[in-house]
Amino acid sequence: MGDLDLATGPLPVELICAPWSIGLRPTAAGAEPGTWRAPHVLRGAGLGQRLEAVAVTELSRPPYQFEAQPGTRVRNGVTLRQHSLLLADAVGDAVAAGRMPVVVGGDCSVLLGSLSGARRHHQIALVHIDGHPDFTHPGHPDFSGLGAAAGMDLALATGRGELLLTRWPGVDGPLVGDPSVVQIGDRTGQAVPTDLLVIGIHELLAAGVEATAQQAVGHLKAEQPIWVHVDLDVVDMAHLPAVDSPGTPGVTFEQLALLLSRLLESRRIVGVDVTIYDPDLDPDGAYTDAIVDCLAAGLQGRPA
Amino acid sequence: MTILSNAPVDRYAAELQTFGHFAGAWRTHIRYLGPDGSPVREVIGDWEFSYALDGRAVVDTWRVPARDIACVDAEREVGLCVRIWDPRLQLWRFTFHSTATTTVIHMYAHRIGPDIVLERAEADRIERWVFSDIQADTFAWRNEISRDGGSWQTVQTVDARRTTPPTT
Repeated sequence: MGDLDLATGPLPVELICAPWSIGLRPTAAGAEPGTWRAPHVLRGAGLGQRLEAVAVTELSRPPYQFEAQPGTRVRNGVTLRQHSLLLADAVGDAVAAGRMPVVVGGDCSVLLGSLSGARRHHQIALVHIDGHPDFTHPGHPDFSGLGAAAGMDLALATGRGELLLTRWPGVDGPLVGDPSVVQIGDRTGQAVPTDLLVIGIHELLAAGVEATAQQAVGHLKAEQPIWVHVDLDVVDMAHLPAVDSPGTPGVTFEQLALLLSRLLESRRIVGVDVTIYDPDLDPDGAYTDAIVDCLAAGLQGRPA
Repeated sequence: MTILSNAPVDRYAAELQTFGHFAGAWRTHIRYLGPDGSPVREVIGDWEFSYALDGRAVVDTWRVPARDIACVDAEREVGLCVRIWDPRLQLWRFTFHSTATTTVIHMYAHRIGPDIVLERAEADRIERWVFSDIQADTFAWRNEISRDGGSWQTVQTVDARRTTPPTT
């Protein structure tokens, strides 16, 4: 595994666009959710320029199937594996080139390909910033019918679920172990294994962002490289309703930007994925500037 | 007969060797287990493997009971397994075609340490078929199911012994 060396300063950003919705259930109207459009919409709002991306990789849009695929109870499970491996190639190449991949989804299932790519270079830890712990898996009370990987990504990343999505080439065991995970922002109170640190939304808001960032980084092994997952539904629905599962309480965009920037100051962040904004739920584009401003402030220290 | 091949195609020879190792004929001692784990039925079967399709796949026939054991034809299972390495998924795609029940089973296979694990997820359970203790002339196999993804129950075991030398 390569040593993480950020001593020379922040890594240049490579934007990796993962236009997919395959981890989500169909909408109430029976259609494919619109999260696949997010990378294009956010790039149109200047995300690449604001992050000063030195490279942009656009992955192909995976086909969304409404019926079950053979041998798996995860919706689009086979497609998800195939495209996760392609995403892993892009993330792995970016890390090898000395860049920080910023994966723009798409839904939360992009986490699997992101971690798989990062694991080619580092034994990584994970900071999972999300209004939900995404811990549904076989045996969980919420698991039934055809599962949606976007509600299972943290369970799958920690090795719980079908081998199709928990077992990845070149990785012995899960993508990330329970003690190497900090979940920040859960508003559901869902039970997760005790080795996995959860800083729920109430705790975050009470302690403040600075203290939460410090607690998260301090909990993980010293010097261990970190991948950051951002599900934008951690933002309070009053500020961002255009997501798959909006809720309250949540953070403001400013709080999310500060959290990201404090995590980056640890000099241990090797990559970030940002997920779940759904342009179909934002037909006027009312929230794109706020999202871009937040990510620019958080990842480059450059607010609007 | 051109369906069968003597060797794997060069491009994926290493991957194909995972199941190509079994090329040849095997005698199987099969135990079907009850809920308490004790055998409720034991039978001797045959299992033959070969490279196939110009070396791009491994196919095998699963016979229960063995060909030389008398049996009412309607109670005989002669199933076809097809195993294909999928480079896009970095795993094996497996199908089992039963002539006894006419069902088709789809599974995905991974090499995990010294074992080979095939898995499929059904509505109410996950099922694994595991090749273990793999030696040149013997191997073990088991069928196990889990309803919660954590605890596993073995429902069938096989002890296999090679009866012909490897074909490659």
